[in-house]
Parts: sequence; C-alpha cells; structure tokens
Amino acid sequence: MKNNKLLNTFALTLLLLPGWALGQRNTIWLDGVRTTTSKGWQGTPNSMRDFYNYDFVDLVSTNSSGSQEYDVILGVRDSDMPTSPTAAMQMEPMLDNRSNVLGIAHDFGGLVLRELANRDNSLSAMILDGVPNQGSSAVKLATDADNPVDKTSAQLILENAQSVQAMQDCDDCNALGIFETWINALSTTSIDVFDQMANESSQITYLNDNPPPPEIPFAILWGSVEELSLMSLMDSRTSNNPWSTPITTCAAEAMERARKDYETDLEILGLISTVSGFFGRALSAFGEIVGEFAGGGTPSPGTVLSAFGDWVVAERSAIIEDIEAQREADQELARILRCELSHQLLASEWQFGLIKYGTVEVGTEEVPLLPEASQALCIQYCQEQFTGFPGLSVFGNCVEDCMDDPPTQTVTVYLPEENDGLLLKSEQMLDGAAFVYHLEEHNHFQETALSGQSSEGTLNHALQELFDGTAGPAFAVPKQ
Amino acid sequence: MYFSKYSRRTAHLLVLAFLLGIAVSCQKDHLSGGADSKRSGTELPESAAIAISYDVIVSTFLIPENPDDAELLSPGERALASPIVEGSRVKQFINRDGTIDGEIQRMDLEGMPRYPEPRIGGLVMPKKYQPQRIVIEGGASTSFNAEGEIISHCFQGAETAMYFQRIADELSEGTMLSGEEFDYMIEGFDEAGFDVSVNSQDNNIVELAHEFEDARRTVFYLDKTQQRIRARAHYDAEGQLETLSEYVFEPGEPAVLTAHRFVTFYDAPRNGVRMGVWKTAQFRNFELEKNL
Repeated sequence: MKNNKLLNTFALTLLLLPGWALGQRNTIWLDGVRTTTSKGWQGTPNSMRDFYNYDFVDLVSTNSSGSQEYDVILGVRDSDMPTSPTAAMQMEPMLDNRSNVLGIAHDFGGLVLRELANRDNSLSAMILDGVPNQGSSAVKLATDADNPVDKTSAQLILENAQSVQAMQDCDDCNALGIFETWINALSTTSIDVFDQMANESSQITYLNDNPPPPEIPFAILWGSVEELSLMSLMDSRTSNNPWSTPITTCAAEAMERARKDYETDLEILGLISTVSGFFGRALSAFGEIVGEFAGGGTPSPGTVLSAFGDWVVAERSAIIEDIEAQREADQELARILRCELSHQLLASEWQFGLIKYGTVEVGTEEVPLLPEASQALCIQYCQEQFTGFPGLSVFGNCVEDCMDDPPTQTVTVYLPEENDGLLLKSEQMLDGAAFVYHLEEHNHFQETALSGQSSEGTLNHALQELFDGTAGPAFAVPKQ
Repeated sequence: MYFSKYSRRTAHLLVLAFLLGIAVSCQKDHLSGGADSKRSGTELPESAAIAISYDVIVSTFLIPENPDDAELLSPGERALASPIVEGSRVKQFINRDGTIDGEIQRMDLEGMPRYPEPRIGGLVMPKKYQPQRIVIEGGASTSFNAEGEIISHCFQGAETAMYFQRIADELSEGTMLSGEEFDYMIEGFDEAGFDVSVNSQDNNIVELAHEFEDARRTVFYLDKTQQRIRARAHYDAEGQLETLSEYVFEPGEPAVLTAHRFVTFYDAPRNGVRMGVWKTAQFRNFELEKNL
C-alpha cells in the first residue's frame, strides 16, 4: 500500500514535471536591442538561480556584460529573402538539438524567440516579457522620417518641447538632454531593425499570420506604469539598477526648488511691487509732501506737483531700476513655468505618439473658471467677455448671472491605453497565451529586473509562479 | 482745500502676506528624519509679527493666444489645455527677524476639477515625487510626499529673509491718498516724462508706461480706487507681449487679494501658433492676525 502511494506520487511528479525531473532545465534568456531599447537581463538569471534556488542552465549566458548572441540587424526574417540569415538562425547552434528548452525573452528578443520556435524543436515553452508582439508605435515614432535626412517624429516632438524652454537654461538635471541622447541613438540605429519591429511591418505580419502564433505554450508578461514619467523611463534606461531614480530625484528637487522660488521670492517681489516698490514709495512721498505743506496752510496743486516732480526726477534711476527688477522677476517666473511645461508637453506628445495605433478614451470635465461666486471676480470675468463697453444693463446682467451660477469651462480629458512607456498593452499581447501576467508599475526597462520584493505584480512573483508550475508544467523549472 | 492730511493704511497692506510661501534657496539634502510643524491654527506666538492662513488653488495650462488657432494644435498641445490644478491649505507665521514658520498641505479643495486618471497632460513627476506637505521651521523647509518621505530640504536665503522683514515693516506703514491727490500724483509722473494714459476700457485704471533704451516697454496698470498696481505687462523690442502679471483684489477695507494670473508666450515651431502658458492662483478663506 505504502509502495503504491510512493509510486503514485512519483507518477504525479513525472506528470507535473515532465522531461526535467531528474536534472536542471535548459533555458535561454534573450534581450532586445541592448543599447537603445532594452536594459538586458543582467543579474536576473543569476538571482533566480542563486537567490530563489531554481535549477537551470542559461545556454546563452546573457548575464555576461555586453553579450549579445544574435545580431539584431539580421532581424526576424526578411520575407523578401526568406533564405537570408536571421537572428534566430544565429541562436540555433546554441540550442544544439537539446530538448525541453525554456525560452525567456524581452523586447526584440521575444520576436527572435518566436521565430526560433518556428524553426527549431528544441524550445518547449516561451515566456515573452514586454515583447512588441503586435509591433511598436514607439519604434515608428523614433525612426519615422519623411526622408533619411529629416528629423524623426520623436525628434520633432522633442524640438517642440525644447522650444517651450525658449533656449533658456532649465534646471531639470539635463532630463531633456538625456532624452535627446536616447532619441538620437534610436534614430541612428539600423533602420532595418526598427522597421521590423514597427506596427504592421512585414516581419510582424509574418510572425502573426504565417505561420500563425506559436504552437508551443507561451506566457505573456506585460508591463505598464500608471503615470508615465519620461524621467523615470530615462532613469531606468541609463542606471545600472533600473529601479534607481537619480534623474527623477534630481529633477524633482530642482523643480521643487524652482517652484518655491516662484511661489516665494519672485511672487513676493511682484506682489510687493503692487503696493510697494516705486509705486508705494511714490504714494508715501506724495503723502509726505502734502503733509509738509498742509502744516503751513492749504497747499496749491502747483506747489505740490512741483515738489513731487522733483522727487520723481531725483528717484528716476531708482524707479527704472525697480521696473527692470520687476521685469527680470517676471521673466524668471516665465522661465520656471516654461521649464515645467516643456516636460509636460514632451510627455503628452510622447503618449499620443505611442497610442497612434492604440486606443485613447476621451472624456470631458467641467473646470470652474471662478472658485466661488465673488463679485470682484465676476466683474473681472464679465469685463473679459466683452470687447469695448457693453452697456450697463448687459454688463450688469452678466455679473448677476455669474454671481448666481459661477461660469465653468469644458475641457477634454484624454485617457491613454495602458503602456510601459514604449509599448502599449495591446502591442505586448498575443492571442493563445497560456498565462498572462501584468507587471504593475514596470516601465519597459524595468521588465527584466527583479525588484526588492516578490509581491504580486512584480517580475519576481511572475517568474516564481511560472517556474513553480502554477501556469502549467511547460514553464516549470526545478528547485536545486 | 485740494489736499487732505494723508492717511496711514495698515490693514489693506496685509494682502502682501498672501504669497509668502516658503522662503528658500533649496539645496540637495538627505535627511534621515522628518520635521514636523509644532504649531496648529494661526495663534500668534510672541516671536511672530503675523500669522496667516488661507487656501489657494493654482492652475497651469497652455492655450493659443488666438483661440481660432486651436485647430492647428497637436493632440499633445491640446491635452495641456486642461489645467493642472493643485489646492493647498497654508498656515504661516512671519517672525520679527524675517524668518517664517508654517505648513503647506496639498489637498483637494471645493471647486477643483476631479479628472479621471491617469490622463495625458497631467503632472510630470510620479506621485512619489510630488510634495503633499511642506513644513517650514527654523529657517528651513522640508517637502514630504504622501508617504511622509522627504523630497527636498531647503534653507531660507538671507535675501528672502530680507523680503519678509521688509514686508513686516511695511505692513505697519502705508499711504492712502484721496482720489484727487492720486490724480495729482499721476499727473506728476506724466510731467516727469513717464507715459501716462487712462485705460480705454476702464477709466478707473491708469496706464503708466516706461520704454527702455532698447525699445522694450513695460506698462503698469494702476487702480485709482485701490491705489495699487493691478497688472504689469512687459513687451519686447518688437512690441510683442512677453509676460503679463495681474492681481485681483476684492474691494473693501481691507482689500483682499483673491487671484493672481500670469501668462508668458512662445511660438510653437511646428505649427507657428503663438501659445500662452498660464498660471493662475485663486485665494480664499484668508485669515490674518498681526502683532505689530
């Protein structure tokens, strides 16, 4: 009886853990276009082995710094020249006719992996993590130009944002400059590679339609960030640890500092000037002149005007300096505002670039023009509604209506499809997946990096679920 | 009698205190702990000259100078027409030595729009880097995010302390002329060579302009009744408006600042549209206690 139980357990184990029950599992970990769009797997395979104790061999050894086992320029497959070399062909010798190999890939590597699955029987399952399975709008954004010498769409977007700064120094820790470096790198990387990754490219069409999506089990891990921050995206791209935030932290401090300067020193200076400054001094001087003359009887206007004229002449330089100071303060306010806005505009334009082939929900929102019914604000509001003098009754009615029902303005609100900063959710999806997992608050460059915790929504948790066989035995990896 | 003895004004100058946010020249700093405000409400401590509290709603947005150009805008530009709106409850003490203490708490205030999120054109910084509370104490201010983590730590600059001291001084001084006296004062500016005219749309507003040697021009809009600068506009050498700053006061004694609007412009290179970058601040529930 006891022996039967043992046999049953052994049989069940074999059933659940087919092929590798007696040894470590072979894997290949592929990343994307390393220097531009993919951070690479770096320490993740080692951590899964050494920290989480999974027992596998990495046949491609992407852990070694800078290794790239396939040439991205070769692409997935040239449909015009089917016999020409492909990146997938380069991978075949590494599989070396092994069986039950688990492929794990990010970004462009996922497309290579899919083609490899079409060509080679060694792969038995795939984990596609942040892969442009339906092609990428971002790639088109970064590489599309009417002519090779023209600027790309992304470069034009950047140029627009830079124009808001009006060529003035912007204390943003060079966040726009870092973005520009990346955009320029994308534009100069082999156009062929990106053409293959772009939406509706012949290569994407080939992978999705002919042959149809992979027959071996595959899992989709898709990333998204709730609030897209291009600074966070650049942090993840440029830092060794994609979870670190040196640019964002620096820029947040700089912007907060600028905002405080704006809301304090500069606005104070401006506000002082409304009642003080040269005008306040003039009021005081005039009052004192009147006071002095009043002591000796009724002053004549000519006497007072003459005395005040002398004061203005004597103070002329100081008055002009004061006006210049206010001008400079207002220009500084403008500079700070433009700096903030340039980043908002860039992020906004980038989002619209991403959703060119995706979805955006449009809603409307009523924005109050006045915070509350206030006679002063309503008078001002009504003054702005009419050019010229509208006539007392019309103006009075406007103020009355405004007091009864403060005016509002309807603005349009755009809600983008979920995305990881580079790829939309719909671009990462592929029909027929055995397992779909949402990497929450993971931008594209964080999708290959383990985070400090294994909570739900992290890559750590996703890989554990898969390796533990929760999503099916095809993805299971034994423990050491 | 043409002129009366001039009057001292005190209370209505107190509006100066509205925009005393946080006095500072920040530096990058990494603190292990968080400061906290020891005061609540606006009870006036002995060391303070003024206690202020108010709510402020700040909106920033982007719209074309000419509304007819809206059709030429890119979707990204269009999305920024929806104002980014932030509300704050501010409590501050201006001390006699020019330092300030206080707390600024970001919060949703009545009348603020509530957008569905995440929307395109919202704030640039992730929530973790958006200050939710700013504490000012001992000559320094510290910004905290919603989790209570420090975002930045800044020290009050000597120059800013001087501003506050000046404000504290000026709050007890001030001149209010009679309407007739004010007209004569303006005439004095006119005779001294400044360009003075009555606003064509509102005869309560006098425009006082100065043209610099390089043809740049600044125009001040002076409110005859309130005897304060209501707005100032700066034009470049080509006569194009660069910035406009405008203050709105609720009439009365004391007059209360209810709004501030600021706009600057740029020419969008892709569509040639002249865009206005707006920032408006609207104030309410202002309370002030002074110990001058």
